[in-house]
Amino acid sequence: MSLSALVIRNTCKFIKPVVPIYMFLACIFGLNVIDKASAAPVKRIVIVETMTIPLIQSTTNWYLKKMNELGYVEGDNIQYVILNAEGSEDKAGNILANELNAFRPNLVMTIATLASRASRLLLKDTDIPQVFVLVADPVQEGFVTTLGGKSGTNITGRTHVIPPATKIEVVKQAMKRATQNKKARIGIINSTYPSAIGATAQLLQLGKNSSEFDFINLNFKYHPGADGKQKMQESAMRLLKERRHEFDYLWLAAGPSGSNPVFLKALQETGIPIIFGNNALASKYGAMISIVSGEKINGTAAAKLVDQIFKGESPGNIPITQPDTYIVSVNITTATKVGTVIPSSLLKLAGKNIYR
Amino acid sequence: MKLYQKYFLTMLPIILLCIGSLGFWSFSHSKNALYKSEEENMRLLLNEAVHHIIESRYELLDQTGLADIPAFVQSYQEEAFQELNELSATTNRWFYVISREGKPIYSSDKNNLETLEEWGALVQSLQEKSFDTFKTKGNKTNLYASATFDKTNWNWVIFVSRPEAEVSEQVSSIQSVTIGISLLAVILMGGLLTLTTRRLLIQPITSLQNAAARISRQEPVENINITSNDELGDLARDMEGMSEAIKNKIEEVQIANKAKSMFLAHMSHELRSPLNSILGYADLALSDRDIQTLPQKTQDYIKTISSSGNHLMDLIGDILDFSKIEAGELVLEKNAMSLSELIEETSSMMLLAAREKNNALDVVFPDTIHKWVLGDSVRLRQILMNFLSNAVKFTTDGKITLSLTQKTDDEFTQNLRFEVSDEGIGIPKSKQASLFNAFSQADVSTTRNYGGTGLGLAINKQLVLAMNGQIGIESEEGKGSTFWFEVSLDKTKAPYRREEDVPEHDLTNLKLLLVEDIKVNQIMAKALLEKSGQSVDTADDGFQAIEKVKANDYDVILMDIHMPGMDGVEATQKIRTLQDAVKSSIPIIALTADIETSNLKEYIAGGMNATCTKPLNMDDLLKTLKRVVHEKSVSAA
Repeated sequence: MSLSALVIRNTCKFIKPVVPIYMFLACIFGLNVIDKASAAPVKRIVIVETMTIPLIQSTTNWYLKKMNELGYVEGDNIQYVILNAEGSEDKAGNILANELNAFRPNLVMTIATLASRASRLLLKDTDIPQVFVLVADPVQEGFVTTLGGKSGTNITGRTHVIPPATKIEVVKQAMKRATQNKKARIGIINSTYPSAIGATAQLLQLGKNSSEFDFINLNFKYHPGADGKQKMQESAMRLLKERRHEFDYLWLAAGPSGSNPVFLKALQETGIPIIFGNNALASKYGAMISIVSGEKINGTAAAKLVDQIFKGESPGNIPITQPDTYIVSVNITTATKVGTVIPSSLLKLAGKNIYR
Repeated sequence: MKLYQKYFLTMLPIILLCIGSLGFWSFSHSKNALYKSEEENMRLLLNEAVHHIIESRYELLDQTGLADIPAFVQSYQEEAFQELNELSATTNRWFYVISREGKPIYSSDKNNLETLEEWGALVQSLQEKSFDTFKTKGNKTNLYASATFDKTNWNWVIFVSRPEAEVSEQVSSIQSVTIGISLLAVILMGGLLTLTTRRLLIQPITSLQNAAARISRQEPVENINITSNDELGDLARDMEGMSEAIKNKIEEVQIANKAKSMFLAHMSHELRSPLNSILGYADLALSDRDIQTLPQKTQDYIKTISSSGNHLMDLIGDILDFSKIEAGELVLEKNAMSLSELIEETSSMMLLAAREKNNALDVVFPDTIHKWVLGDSVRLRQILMNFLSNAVKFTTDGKITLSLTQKTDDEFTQNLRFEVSDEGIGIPKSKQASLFNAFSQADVSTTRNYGGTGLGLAINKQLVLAMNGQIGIESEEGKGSTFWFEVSLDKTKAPYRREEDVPEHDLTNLKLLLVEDIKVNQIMAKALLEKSGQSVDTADDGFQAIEKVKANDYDVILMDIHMPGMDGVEATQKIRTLQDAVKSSIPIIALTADIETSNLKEYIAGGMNATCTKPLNMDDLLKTLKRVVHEKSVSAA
């Protein structure tokens, strides 16, 4: 055999087993690359809602919307688990604990005080980040030592309430005419819900130095769950009736009842002028003034916090702050009934949230 | 007034005018700007009041549907007024709200609410003007701006105002500041301008002026303290050059004058000396007894020689005098002299000449004239002699009068008028003007008929002018002339007349040494002196004179000045240094044709005792001999 023929023959012999091997390796390599390219990590977020009230659900919705805008597409790179505590702190703790046992989430978001409190107990010794919203008093809850400060742990969030001193000042301006000759006796209607109690205590403390107002504590027991609403309403009405002679006006403290339209309607029907509420709904049902940060504001803020954490920021380094934007609502009818005029500056802030 | 004072006084009004105008313009501009600014401020405030305070509330009520709720309307109007109060307090302006019908609604000026009615009245008369002045009761003028707000139930006119006095106060303040700054600017600018001008212009000009003054005094200016590289510096350098040139020229002139003076002195000596001999020998011949033995013609020749020689001497004298005057070498003496003696001697000298032409010569000398004065008797005599000689020359069978009158008189001075009047040929008017010019006579026929050089009157004029006097003529052709001159002479007392106290000395047998280098002069002088009875030895020059003095005893030495080898001055100095006290103190009389007083004084200072001028006048020489002999005898005593 000639040399060239020999070379050709041997080459063919070599090529035959080698080529398939190469092809196999190429496939494996290619698939690996494709797999790596397409395999983005899916974040798992557990959302714990304290109860079912429009404020909370609306906040959740705004949160989800903002997260989507930020690039977190459900089913794509993020997965949500929404839990509802039905107004019970214990239930909040239980449902979260079950979830944690089943699957470790990347982050837990809690909405309102009870869910946030219960979740804190479960998460404080973990490294799972917790983001809270709609907690009236994070300092009182022990999440942070001072508003505006950093927790230094795995929790951060936003409170939704304005300082009580500001509320009193606003009301004072609005009630100027009515309080020209005498002090206004204002009953603070509040449940034993934590945020309500906290807000009431602050108001009572501040009211001691007020020359325009005398605050009276009208406290009733908080009952969680759907059944609890009715119980709370009855308690409240009874309380109002019994102690009607002690006050001239009502002040709705923070708490779930302040967002319950049935409760608000019942209050309206008592004919007692409500001079302050916690949301636009309250103004719709007669609260002369309502100042609140709003669901959109809070939901959006929460999404931004989550985004920060997913991008590497430690929750403990993110300050826990108040919102800087509020929604003002006014009720002209109540103002007229009270014998006062909403100052133009407040009316301007109310924008379209003016009810008659 | 000094230049810088003139400059300052000129520039000051200009600066005042400029700065004043600028200040006034600035003030006017500032005032207008102030009012403009106030108007703008008021408009801004009105805009704030109307749109942000009132209109925003109205629109809020309107948009919220609350415009029909009186409580809200009233409350928001009160809010607006409250905000206007705050705005008024912060801006120090008053706000007024008046309804369109003139009804007052609001005033931020709580202290003067009564003015609200007046503003209400203003609304009725408001024209299109939105910025104007308004005078309220109490004569208070206010600046205001106005705007309208026409809405249902809010039909208002809004005013913002400010008392004009507050603006005027600012205007006054601006005015004061402007005046102050203007004055300061005037002072600063004036001062800077003065300093700068003084430094750049005045001081250099002063330096130049000082330099010019020094140059005018013929003082050298080597360095003028101006170093700037400009026209003044160039002028300074030019003046330095000019000074140098003038200095050189003065030196040249001085050298030339000195040369001229030396020439004149030399020529005076050279001309007079031989002439002296001629006249001397002519006189000797004429005085010799033996002349009678000569033929008359020969006698006449000698007389002619004498008279021509004298005439030539006069001519030489005139020419030398004139040259001296031209060279500025004329020096007038100021010695005590007797006017009466002067007049008498002068008239005596001309009496004979006058009588020869059958002229009478009268002298008029009033007693009121102070006789003794200080002056140059020689020159005064010269002037009078010139006038008298002309009078004699041009008058025949007439009368010549020499008169002296006193024009003015005070304690120290008298102004005298000397006149020489004649009944001669007179001088035409056309010739009188040029009469005192050099080489000028009435006409050429005068020279031909009467002779003369034409220098006499010119010399007289220069002499009179040198005495600060005046000279002139009054003449009529065919009737005669009056030549006059006026001079002021200081009064003095009669001096001690040494000649009167000098006793008569016997001058015969005086042993004289005559030192004269020119033989003919030597022989002539010796002959004249021996004729007077003196014993005369001679020496030809200074060297011989010293030797002869050492070897012999003499009473007086007559020393010629200009001699070859050793001149008379040097010989005198050497004699004065001789060991022998008697010989060293021999009286020495200088014999010289030089009539320069300064030179004569120099000879006296050189050790000589007296001077006698050539040509020798025996009377003068004998008088001088007498004096020096007397002085010697007095000092010996």
